[in-house]
Amino acid sequence: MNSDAPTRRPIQVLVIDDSEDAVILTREALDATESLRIAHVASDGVEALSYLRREPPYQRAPRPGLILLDLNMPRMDGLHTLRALKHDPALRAIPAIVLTVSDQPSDIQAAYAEGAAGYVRKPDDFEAFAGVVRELQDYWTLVCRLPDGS
Amino acid sequence: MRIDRVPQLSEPLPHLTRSVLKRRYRRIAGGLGLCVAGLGGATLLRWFFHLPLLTGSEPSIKVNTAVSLLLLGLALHLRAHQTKRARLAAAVAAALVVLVSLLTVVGYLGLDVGIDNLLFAHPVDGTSYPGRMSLVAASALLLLGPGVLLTCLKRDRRRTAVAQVLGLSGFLVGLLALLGHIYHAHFLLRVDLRYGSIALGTTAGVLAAGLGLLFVVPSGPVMEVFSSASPAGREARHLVFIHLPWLLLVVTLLTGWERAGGLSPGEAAALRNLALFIALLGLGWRAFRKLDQAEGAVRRALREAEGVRNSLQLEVMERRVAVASATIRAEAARAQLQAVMESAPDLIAAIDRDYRYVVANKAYVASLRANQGVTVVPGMRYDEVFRRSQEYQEQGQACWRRALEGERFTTVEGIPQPDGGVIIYERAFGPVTDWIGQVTGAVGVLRDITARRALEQEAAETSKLLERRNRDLETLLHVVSHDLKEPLRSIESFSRLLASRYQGQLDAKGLDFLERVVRAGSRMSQLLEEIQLLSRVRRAEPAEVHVDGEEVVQEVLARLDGAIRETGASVTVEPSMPRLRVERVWATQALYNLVANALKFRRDGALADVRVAPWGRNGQAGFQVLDRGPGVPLEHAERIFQLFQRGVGREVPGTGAGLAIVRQIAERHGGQAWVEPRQGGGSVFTVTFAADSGKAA
Repeated sequence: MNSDAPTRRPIQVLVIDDSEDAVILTREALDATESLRIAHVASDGVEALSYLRREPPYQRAPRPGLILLDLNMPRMDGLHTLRALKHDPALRAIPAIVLTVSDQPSDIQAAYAEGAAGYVRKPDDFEAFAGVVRELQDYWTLVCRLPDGS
Repeated sequence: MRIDRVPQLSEPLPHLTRSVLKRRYRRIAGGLGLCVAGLGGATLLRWFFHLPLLTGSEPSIKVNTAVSLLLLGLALHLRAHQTKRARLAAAVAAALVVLVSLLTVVGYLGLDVGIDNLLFAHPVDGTSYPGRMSLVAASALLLLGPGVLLTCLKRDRRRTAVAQVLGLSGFLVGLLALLGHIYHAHFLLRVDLRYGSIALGTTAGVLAAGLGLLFVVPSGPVMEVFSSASPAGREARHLVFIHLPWLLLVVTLLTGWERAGGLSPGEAAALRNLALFIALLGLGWRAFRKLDQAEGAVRRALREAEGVRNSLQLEVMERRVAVASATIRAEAARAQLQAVMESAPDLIAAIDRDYRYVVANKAYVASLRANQGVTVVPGMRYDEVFRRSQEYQEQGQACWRRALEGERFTTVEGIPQPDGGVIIYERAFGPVTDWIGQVTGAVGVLRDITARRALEQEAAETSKLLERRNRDLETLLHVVSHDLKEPLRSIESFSRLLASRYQGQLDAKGLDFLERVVRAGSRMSQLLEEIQLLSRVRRAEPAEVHVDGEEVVQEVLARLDGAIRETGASVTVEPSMPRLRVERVWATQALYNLVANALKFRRDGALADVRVAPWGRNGQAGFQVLDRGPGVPLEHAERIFQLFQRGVGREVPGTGAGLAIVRQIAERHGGQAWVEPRQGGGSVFTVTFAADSGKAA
């Protein structure tokens, strides 16, 4: 990198959420941004880990630059997925952001304790949600720098 | 009235009691007997030995008389000794006297058995009869001898009387002979001139023996009065021992004087009569005076006795009346107590310090009759009742003991019944004290709480069940509100997305439909949020935190600032808001809902006029929100606090959960929420919490 100006390189995003409706809305919001692109949608933590570790059928899957995950999921919920990610040396560098409707203090506390890079409460209103996603993009592309290999 | 002194007829003679007198009389009798025996003995000696010192000539007392006197005197002396053997000897001696005198008398009657010649033969010349005693002496001895003999026999009142009459007769014979000697009345001394007259010595012996016979048994009818300690006895003794001797002395002296030639027979007789008259008069006067005194004393004594009796009677009557009225009062009090006890459904009994029943009401008695087969009556001991079951007796006795020691306590005990059931009794025991606080007994009250227990148990179970149901309901509420949220979010989001992106492709109707979907979603979201809030309130645990009411009001007004401006409402806040024991977030929520309501519900065309005031009473504190709105009809006053029960139509926005939340917050924190009509129109909403018991900061 020789340019000091932050560039709007597309960032591959792994979305982990079991709700189809939520995924559609998230996709709508992400598609409305310039840099955030959905690499893959996993319906739970097990599938997400499998994708990240390039287990079949994901041998050729690209490594995502950001992970957005919900807390409420079957099989392996958000907090457990977070723990697994942060205990895996190959994956722990990827920032994982919790995106959920819950604003329970206990959830927030637990999420950061498990190594979440952020905790975003999903607004009920879609326009608001789209705004939040846009700000997330700005933050991760204009303010922060992501580790290499993304 | 007090008895001042015991009236007395005469002062007693402390030492001269009857027994002392009798002893003294017997001693006199013994002494007299000894004298008589001595006289007889001395005469016999003279007869046998012709002792010159004792006699100048032939003795005047005949031999047989001397022997008889000796025997009679000995008999008297021995009889006075009182021992059995002496008495026997006395009887033998007396019997010999009787024999001799009897034979002599028989001789006088012409049947000579030769008794006269037994010791001394009659001189042949027939001029003198030394052995034959005179007829007078013989008759005197025939009276005295049997008399003494009778006293020696077994004691008997009749015998004693006869003996004393005999003694008195003998004495009178002697007295007659003495008078004969004094007055030379010879016909009194001899009956038959052939055989001589009674000698002076014999006369003295007969007199002494007669007295001795009277005195030896001092209790007979003749002597009784002499041995009495009474005034009469004293008078009798006076007469016999003092007056009779001096009279005899005077008579003797006068007669001697007459015989010496100093007095003519007429003068002597006159003087003797005078002496007798004086003696008679003196004795009579003394006797009558004593009688008079005695009678007066008796009257006085009777009067006094009557007075004492009357006063005693009066006193007794008074006492009886007092006792009777006290008894009546006590009985009335007891009856009242019993009535009070009977009116109670409880089993009541009281015991004294000896564990004896004092009172027991019918319920108690009936219970023990059924349970122990014993009917309790006052006075019965507690351990007599519970003979059937040792365990309950000991256990009950322990309770009574604690109560008697002054303890007041309550126990609960299940007591098995004969029918197999168990009655649960709540038993209250306590001491019974008198007016100075001394424990005089104990009282026990047994209340059958079997039914109450069953109800309590049922209530506890019901409440447990209710609690469980409530918890289930809350869980359901929570889960439902949470899980409904997600699909709702999709509906809202997609309908909005549709509205924003595909507006151009819908016609007016389509847009209207879409708009309705959006509105319904929004409303449902609001409802769910409030349900969630309500669910959170119900789960809230009241914490030991405090909040300043002033701060709560300020925060609420700040949050409603926009709405207040928008509606142009006027909001007045009274000073001195209380400190509350409730979490700030809940106090704020409650007041917020009330003020928001007050802003929302207003009369057509009128601006809201809201007043926030402090409230405090009975350990509770809170807020009052007063409005000038349309007011709440009384029939809705309770309903509007229930979930989703609205007092107004759809034209006023709202879910119907606001007041339910207010009430829930209040109740979770030990308070209440209610609405009252306000004077001059409008409503007064009050929400209270437990007041801060600590000192205000």
